[in-house]
Amino acid sequence: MTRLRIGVDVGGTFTDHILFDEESGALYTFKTPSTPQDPSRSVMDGVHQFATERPEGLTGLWLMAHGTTVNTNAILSRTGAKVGLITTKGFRDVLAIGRQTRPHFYRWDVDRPEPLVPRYLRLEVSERIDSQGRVLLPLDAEDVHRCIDVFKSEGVDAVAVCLLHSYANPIHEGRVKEILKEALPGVYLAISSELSPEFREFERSSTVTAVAYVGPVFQKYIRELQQGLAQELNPAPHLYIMQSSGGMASARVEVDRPHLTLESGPAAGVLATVDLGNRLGMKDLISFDIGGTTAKASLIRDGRPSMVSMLEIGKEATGYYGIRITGLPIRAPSIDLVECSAGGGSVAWVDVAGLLKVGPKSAGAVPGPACYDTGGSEPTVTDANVVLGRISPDYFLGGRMALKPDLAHRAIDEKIGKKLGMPAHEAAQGILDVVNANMVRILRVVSVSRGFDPRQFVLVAHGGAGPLHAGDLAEELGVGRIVIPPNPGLFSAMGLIISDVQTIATATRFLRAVPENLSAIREGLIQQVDQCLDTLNIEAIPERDQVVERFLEMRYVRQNFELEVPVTNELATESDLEDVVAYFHRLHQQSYGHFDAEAPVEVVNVKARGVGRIPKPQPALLPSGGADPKDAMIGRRRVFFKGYNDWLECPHYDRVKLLRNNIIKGPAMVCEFDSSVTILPDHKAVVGSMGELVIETGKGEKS
Amino acid sequence: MTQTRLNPITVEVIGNTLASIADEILVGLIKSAYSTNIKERQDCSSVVIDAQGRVVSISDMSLPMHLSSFMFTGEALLKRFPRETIQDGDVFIVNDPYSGGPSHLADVTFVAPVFHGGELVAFVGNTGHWPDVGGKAPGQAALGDATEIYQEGLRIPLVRLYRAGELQRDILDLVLLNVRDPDNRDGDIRAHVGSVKLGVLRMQDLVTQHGSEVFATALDELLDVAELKARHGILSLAEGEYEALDYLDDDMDSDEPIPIRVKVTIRHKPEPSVTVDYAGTGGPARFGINMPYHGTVTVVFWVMRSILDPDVQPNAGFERAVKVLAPDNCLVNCKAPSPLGARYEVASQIPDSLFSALSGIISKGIEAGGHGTHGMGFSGQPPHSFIYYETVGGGGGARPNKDGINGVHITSNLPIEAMEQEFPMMADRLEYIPDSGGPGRFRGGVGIRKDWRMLVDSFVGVHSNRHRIPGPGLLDGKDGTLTRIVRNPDSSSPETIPREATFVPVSPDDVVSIFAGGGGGYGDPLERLPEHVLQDVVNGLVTVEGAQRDYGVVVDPEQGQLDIKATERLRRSISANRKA
Repeated sequence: MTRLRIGVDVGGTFTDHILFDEESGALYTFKTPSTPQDPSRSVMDGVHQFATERPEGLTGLWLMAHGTTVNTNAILSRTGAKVGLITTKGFRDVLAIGRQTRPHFYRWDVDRPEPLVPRYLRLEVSERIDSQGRVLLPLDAEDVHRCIDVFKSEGVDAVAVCLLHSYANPIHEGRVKEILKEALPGVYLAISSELSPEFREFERSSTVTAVAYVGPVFQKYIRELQQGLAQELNPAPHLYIMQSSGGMASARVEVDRPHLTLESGPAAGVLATVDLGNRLGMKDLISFDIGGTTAKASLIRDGRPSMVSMLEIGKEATGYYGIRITGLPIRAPSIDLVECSAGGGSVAWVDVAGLLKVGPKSAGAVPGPACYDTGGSEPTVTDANVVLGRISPDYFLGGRMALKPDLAHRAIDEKIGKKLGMPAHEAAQGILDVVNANMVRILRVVSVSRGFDPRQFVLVAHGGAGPLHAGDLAEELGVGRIVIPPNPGLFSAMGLIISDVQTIATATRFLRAVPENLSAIREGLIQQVDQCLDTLNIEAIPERDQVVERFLEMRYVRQNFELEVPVTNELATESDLEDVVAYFHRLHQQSYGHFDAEAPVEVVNVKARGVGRIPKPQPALLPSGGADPKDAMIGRRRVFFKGYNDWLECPHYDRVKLLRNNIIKGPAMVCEFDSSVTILPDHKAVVGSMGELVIETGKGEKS
Repeated sequence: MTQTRLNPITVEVIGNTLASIADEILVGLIKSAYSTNIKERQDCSSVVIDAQGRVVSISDMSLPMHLSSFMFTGEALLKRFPRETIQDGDVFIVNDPYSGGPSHLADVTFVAPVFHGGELVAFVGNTGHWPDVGGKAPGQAALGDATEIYQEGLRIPLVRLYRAGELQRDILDLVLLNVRDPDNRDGDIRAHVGSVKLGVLRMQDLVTQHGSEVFATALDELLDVAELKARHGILSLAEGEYEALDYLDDDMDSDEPIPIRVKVTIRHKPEPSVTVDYAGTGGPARFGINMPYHGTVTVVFWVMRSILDPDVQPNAGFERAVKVLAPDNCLVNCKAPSPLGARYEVASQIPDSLFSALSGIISKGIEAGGHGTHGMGFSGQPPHSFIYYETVGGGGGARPNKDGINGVHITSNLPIEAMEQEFPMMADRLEYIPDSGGPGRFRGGVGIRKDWRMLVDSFVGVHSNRHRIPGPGLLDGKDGTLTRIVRNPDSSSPETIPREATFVPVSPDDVVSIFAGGGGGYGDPLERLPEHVLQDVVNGLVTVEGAQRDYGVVVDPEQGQLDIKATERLRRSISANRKA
């Protein structure tokens, strides 16, 4: 029987679709403009397209995996629900005061983000629990009813509850929930001890109000999408949503935890990188995604993406989450992505001191780069690539959109070249140098500043512009090997169809890592494991496909940032605990350059990650060809290469015509529908079994 | 101005990399430090200094005040240690403001040379505000009631903590013996040194990549770039002399406020320049509310960077375009052995007076007077030894196009749940104070009330300003409210705690409350849109009475609606009374 799955990633500009036939390994792809007013429309566009394109229709479609920006957009555009918040008496302004800092030291007109709940809807109840979870003052139920009266008369759609130290004892929040449930049927509830039972009241309040704020919006979106699917398809496919943590959850589970989806699409791109690495036997990778306006880097070590436990929505500057909080902090396990404003649409300009800058302004899709001839006149990174011959004007989007190289040339010459007193191609190369330096900066943030040497990693470049820049970035970082996946512009959608189901449970337990606490630590872990197993059972994952891993988030006593330490033993004996602590010391040395074997270590959070394995589709094998790629050659054109400081006549190949084992020696360009791959002089690319290009740069330490 | 000699693209690339190295040093410090002040409140900074000792680049996550930690450190270091005696693997430590260190003893700076091919090519450094560096009371180095710097804590001149990679155990022992809570300071030192060493490695990579000659030239040119940008920014300000006068509450010896007088001179010729002159400023104060010259320069740079170009590096090139003059031995240029622990009070008012002076010619990016600064220190004796220091936010001044920021400060607060985990104290409230924002067309930010309840016998230390002189309003905006600190404010016997204090004993169940003031308003409050006043009333930031009194806006408290006719009448009569 035919079994089909669809991955659909709704991005800011485009919605990417991939249909995969599990039997034949065939892939169908489709790209369509996103429809922000009603995001489900561009999702259904793909369903319609595939239903028509495929003679057999969509019979056998059992799974749709979806990456969505619905929740992030609702927060950024402030179009979420009307929310009421209940806090401990005396603390309703915690949400607004946050960490009290100025969002920007040098821009006095910048404000902190407006809280998602206005002050008149932030209400208080009399109760108090201490840091050990002891009840100091019982909950006053009358206060809860007074809050309810206000919420009723104001007509709130959702209520968030965040009481002090509820992570240590959820009893009062539980009671508040019961009362709310009875008095406000149909109102969406978000309870902090259920959603984020971790200490630090502002981050927890911010998370729980964000859930309440987007929950009703997300619920409606999912309901409408499911109805749409049910109308078109019988039986309707199982709808899964990608989480920021790089695993799926079924839509019905996710509607109660919408904060887990905020970096849905980018996480899928990292996941696709992990999967590709697994198939190629490569475990240490850097995923690098360059789109139209942003570049995103993420480190994968030993086949696992690096994780963070918090995101900030609407952050001012810097890629370091949680260091100086300037956006809305949302606690949610997420793949550690560091991004910068650098992409194909980034605009180049000359500042007052005569320095060449690229970004943060982007020409986006509208008005677009100058060469699109769609109204844009600012020189962009794409224009620079056109001027240097790296993008072939007549092969862009498979020839569907003819680019105007003269417009790119003029924009760069007038706005950059003349100002810096250099010819257009030098100015264009300068634009690439500056934007590449910005990108190298975030590649270093995810590697060097986390204690890893990028030379020991494989660079996996994707997104529309990733393959254009990968060679230069690898040279800069000393990376020895680059992999360009097939369909690099649709790689995130690819990540969706190979994803497993994933659930993560975390709770704060302050416990010194000493033998006396062994059983308490073990118990804490067991609770998290059980919670993961419950979720996997709700997801109907067969027991044999359930895998649960355990972690302790640890630090030296009196430190403030925790490191995640995997627990691979039973934690039954003192020596088991010693092994875990030893791992922590090593990790600390690696991360910060020092450790102290004498200093006391404590557990802050106990954590478990449950994975429900979903069978991985096997992509079709690319037919084998000889070493010579001549059959894929389109022609020869001039491309400027910085290393030679000259234009070199070099072959251009059509990627879809390449065959397994073809070898391409640089300098060369490989063109495809939504991207171009630059193969620098002295680099050598080999076409792999799935159509991936593995480029050897001659540098780095081979892994 | 020098012509750029290198390819401008190389300069830009190296400049970006220096910024990212400075960021990495800072993140490494924050993530592995032990002090609450560094790890949670991020009262710390990092820097890249060139081989001549000039500041080139600071991390944008650095506290603006900490530029002074580095401004003269490089110069002092090269003066004290002949270049040929500096070795790869050295790490220097300094905290004394009068010997090339930061602006008060609590800030401790670490600096390491960067060598490439045996040649000294740069320095990197970081600074963190330690909760204690000894002295007569816990956290004294940030408090204001000492009468000479010796009482404020251990003075560390520029000395090597590491010599050629070797820890100088005797120096470490000397430091640790002289501070309270030595174990945690030891942890902080590891974090300082570890992150500086990471910075050294990253710098070496950068120099290797470009070669030391290109690297050195690029650093020179980055200074020229900052100079050029500063001068470019100055051209957008009208030429002239602009003055302002603000007062620091008192010097606690008397009730007399201390004048802070400033004159800003903007010139476009022969070269665009700004001169900020503090002639006529009072002091020095007998107590530790003085500011050393480099601290004053730092805050002026912070403000001028904000006005001239928020993206420019406030480095040695910037310094060529912005001059700061201060008479010898006054409040903003104190000399040894003047105490200066609570110098941030002056720092908090320097922006207020500069913005006020320039308010006639700038209408973006400035603020009316703010709430000042309020440091609260708590400590306990054995068996409950602890030291906890925090600054509490108040209202920011209103801005030319919007209200002031509510409850804001330059450093972060400490989460209540983190505080209660770590210290024998509880918080009873953290909330905005209604009617505390200075009325204006745009309202000043409101202040914060925070209550701490003691669980054991403890001591409170305080340094806080704007207890007598509120944050001034601008252009007919009204002043903000004053700050008060009170023991047991809701009891039958409330006691005011003075604004500079070290050992105020408190007992279990005592409540210590700060009512941090609001910011000044901007523009005439009668011009504030009644709808905005109503919104403030609905949100409880302005009371019904305050709306009438301060804004002439009448709100029906039952309906929560504006009475438009009554408002018009009231505003007319207030205007008439003003003229009369």
